[in-house]
Amino acid sequence: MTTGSMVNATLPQASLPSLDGTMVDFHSYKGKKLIVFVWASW
Amino acid sequence: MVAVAVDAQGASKPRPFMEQAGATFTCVVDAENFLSKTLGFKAVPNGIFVNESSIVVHQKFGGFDIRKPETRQLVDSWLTSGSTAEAESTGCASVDPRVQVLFGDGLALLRSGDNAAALAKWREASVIDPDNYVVHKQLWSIENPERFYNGKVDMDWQKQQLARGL
Repeated sequence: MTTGSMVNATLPQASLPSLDGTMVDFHSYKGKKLIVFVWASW
Repeated sequence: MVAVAVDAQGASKPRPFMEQAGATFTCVVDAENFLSKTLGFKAVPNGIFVNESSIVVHQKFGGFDIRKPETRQLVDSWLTSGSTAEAESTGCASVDPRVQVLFGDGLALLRSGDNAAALAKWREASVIDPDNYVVHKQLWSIENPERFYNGKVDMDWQKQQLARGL
């Protein structure tokens, strides 16, 4: 079974809306360390 | 730090939680399940550590809770020294393509207002992949909103649902 490890791969390009509707592009954080915290209210 | 809230029902659901927590970091909403599809996780909370060149250097799928001392230590260590050496990256099996398709079909039906048909697709997906909590919980939160969005998530009820195979 293959694993879904992303380690050593480039973070997928994504542009997602923030809570106020502004679009946020993951790659705009290039040059900084980034922690993507994935959660849900359920 | 960017927080990504996974919720098919959009920003209105995670917003009260972020406001209650007094969070000052950016929170985006992944209503289309994009990250679960591309990263292959079946549950939350997850942490993905990305270096200055946009390369993923560490991932923790499931149980990434900043209230846990080991999580806090990992974050502090990485931010100060760049090291995640002590913690092994935890991956997970990639999501079955049939589940991805059914989940996507369900999202489209939800957007068209046909909740019953959306839930039927997601039930089919959860039969194929009973360990996929993203599917289970998304389904339950629409079917039984009173168990989720009253300021408290009823985890005991969720355990009972799983025990009953729902």
